[in-house]
Amino acid sequence: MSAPAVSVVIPTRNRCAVLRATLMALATQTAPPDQLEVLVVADGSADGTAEMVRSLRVPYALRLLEQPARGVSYARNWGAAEARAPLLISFDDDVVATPGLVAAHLRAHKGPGERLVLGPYPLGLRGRPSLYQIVAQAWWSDRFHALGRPGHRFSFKDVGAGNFSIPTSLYARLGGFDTIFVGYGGKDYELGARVLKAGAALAYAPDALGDHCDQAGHTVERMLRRTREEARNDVILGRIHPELRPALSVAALFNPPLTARGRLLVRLAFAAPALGDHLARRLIGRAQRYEALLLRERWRRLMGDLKRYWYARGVAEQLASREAVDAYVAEGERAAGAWPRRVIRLELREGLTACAERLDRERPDEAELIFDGQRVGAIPPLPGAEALRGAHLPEALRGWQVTWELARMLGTAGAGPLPAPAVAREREGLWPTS
Amino acid sequence: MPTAVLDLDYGALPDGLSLAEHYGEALALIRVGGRPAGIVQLRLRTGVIDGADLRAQVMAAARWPVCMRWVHTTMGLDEPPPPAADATVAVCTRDRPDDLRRCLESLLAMPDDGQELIVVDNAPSDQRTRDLVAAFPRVRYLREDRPGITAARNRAMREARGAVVAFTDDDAVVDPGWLRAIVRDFDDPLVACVTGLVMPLELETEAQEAFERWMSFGRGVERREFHSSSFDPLLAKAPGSGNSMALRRSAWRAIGPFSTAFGVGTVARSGGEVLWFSQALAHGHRIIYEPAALSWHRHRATEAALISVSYSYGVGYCARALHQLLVWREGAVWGHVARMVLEFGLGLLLRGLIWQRGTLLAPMMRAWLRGFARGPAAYFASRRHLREHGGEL
Repeated sequence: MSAPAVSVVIPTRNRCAVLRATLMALATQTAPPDQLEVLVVADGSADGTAEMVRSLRVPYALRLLEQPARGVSYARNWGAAEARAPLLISFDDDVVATPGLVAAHLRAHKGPGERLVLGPYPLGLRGRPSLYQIVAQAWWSDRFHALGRPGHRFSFKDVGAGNFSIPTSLYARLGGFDTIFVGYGGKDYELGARVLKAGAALAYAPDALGDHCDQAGHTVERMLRRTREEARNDVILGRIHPELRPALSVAALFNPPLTARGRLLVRLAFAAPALGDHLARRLIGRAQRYEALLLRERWRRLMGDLKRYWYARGVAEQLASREAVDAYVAEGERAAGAWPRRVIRLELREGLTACAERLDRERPDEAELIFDGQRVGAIPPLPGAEALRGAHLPEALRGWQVTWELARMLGTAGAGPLPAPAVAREREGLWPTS
Repeated sequence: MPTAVLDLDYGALPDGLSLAEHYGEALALIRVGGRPAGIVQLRLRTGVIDGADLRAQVMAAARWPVCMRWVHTTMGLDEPPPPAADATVAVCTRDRPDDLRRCLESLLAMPDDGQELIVVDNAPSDQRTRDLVAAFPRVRYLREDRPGITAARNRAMREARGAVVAFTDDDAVVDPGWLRAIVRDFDDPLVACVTGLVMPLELETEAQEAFERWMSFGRGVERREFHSSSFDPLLAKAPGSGNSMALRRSAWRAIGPFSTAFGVGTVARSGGEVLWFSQALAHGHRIIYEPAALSWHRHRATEAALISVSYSYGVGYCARALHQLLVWREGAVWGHVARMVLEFGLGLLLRGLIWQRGTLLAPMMRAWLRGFARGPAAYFASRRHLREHGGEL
């Protein structure tokens, strides 16, 4: 048998039925099955997952690795270490691939440069979804839709472990997922941060589409539990990469919008967690009553408070007091401010095409936007985000501050902020559009 | 005094306007680079306004949006919408061949991206519509014998070949860019429906002016997105109206058809599409109001017609609220109904009786309230009709 072109690594724990559907979907790929290798890493599974995988007849090479429950990051790293193909797909056990998924990942790695390629796996809903499922679906859908916009500036927070591909050598060089993270969150973002620091790119392949068929798992209770784990992992992530702290939710823990109830809950999370937990559990019952009556607005506010509470609880496990959180965030802001960056000045008079080409050539972290020698705005540096590309320019110019400055600059003196149309026509030639 | 309706491009504002003398005011759509940037009420002197005054009034009313759009256009930041290849345009009509002809002509003036054109003739009383459509070979004719615009729209949704179906009404005229603009937003997979900006075609009579002022279809020049995570689905009138909307067919199948208990031509008289908007939002879909999708609607000219439309809206609103309460078990309906009756119904009635005496506002609101009171009876009658004759609830 020839060596495969792609190794798909799927960690799983006690989800035999879902995993079976995932493996079956990989059997009908447009990519030739002899190019495909699938490694299932059973992480402490005791529901017959191993037997199911062994007995499954699929056209691709299917391998089973079994470990005692050590966590999903161990599982992914072990699977990657065993992979024989030069390209790795990190996959979840509840993502049902469309037939073109593997081929799309393969295509996206053609050409020079190394990159981590994200594929979409929006949450599919059937029947009448719960209020929380609607929110979750919109979050996932919007996340992937944003990745596909031409002006999207990729950042570490775009990485999700459920469906991405990466050259096996790059994964090995980076050391894979950091196993310091326990529970939900942290690890995908942290890997994303290291990918960008290593000089590799993030990219998006919309046709590497999978169906995230985990509707039943999307419950409020699980979301709140995960929020707490995510908070703890966010703090740990910020310790590894201090300059990313301002981009994490922990930096906004005390920010509005926060109701009086929310403020109280956040305070309790630090001062009296036992009381807070009791109150939060009572409030879950109230949220269920709101949902039964479809009082969406009240449900939404209450859910915002509860999510904030459990996030604060997770933070409090790592940082004991509000003062400690403030100090942690302030230190992060200093680190972000001191982050080495390359700045260029873009004279917009030279035309959008020329400016965009310069961004593509020089890839700075920050760009000052100049018109006729005067500053009209900037594309700010963003720790944990990719360097600027030409495609980011139109998006930045559409922002209202830059637009306003430009309107002022283009206006004739004394005629107020807006120029007369005649002048506009005369100057139109300045803007070569591609 | 009648109001002139103008369509002006900011890049080519005329050096003054001289309209018919009887116009005291003008409602002007201001475009920049072809896209709506502002809607401005202009004061005229016996139908005349000079260039400087025109510019000053436009700037005073819509400086910021015009300015913003102007910079974007000048810098080439506007990406023109791609061709609307996989779309169907459907017009539901009933015994109005003259209006329909004007509507079809505007549809055929749009760029041909291979879109399908359908006319659904709803329970016609004669052959005139069929004969008219026969003169337009690109237009497909369908006859739906169950009366009601909702039944006709469901028929169009079933028969359409496009992935997106865009609806306009027979008494409307679309801008050449309407279809491309209304179809563009469907690249977001969560979007089930896009609505457009509907301007009045003419404001010649007091009835038309009153309708435009108090019950306008227009929702401004700001693009808006609606999703139930930040917008109450029960306020579903906000996203737009049925005479300029496009639906994704797959989403329509998932959400369900228009309830044929509602809508023009049924006992409940209106509200079919608004109820569907609510349903789409409650299912987690997104609705987008896209002002670049522009069309012009001829409001009913006579006072009697205005009163009748207002009455219909009252009936339909109440029936819809009852449906949401009884069938969907929406607990927040009570609050919405109380606010609507107090603020809209009684509030505007009071205004009409005190500050706007002699205008059509008071009779219009009285009709709305009468319709509202009639709502429960109409709702149950409509459901009974549905049980006996079949249809989709």
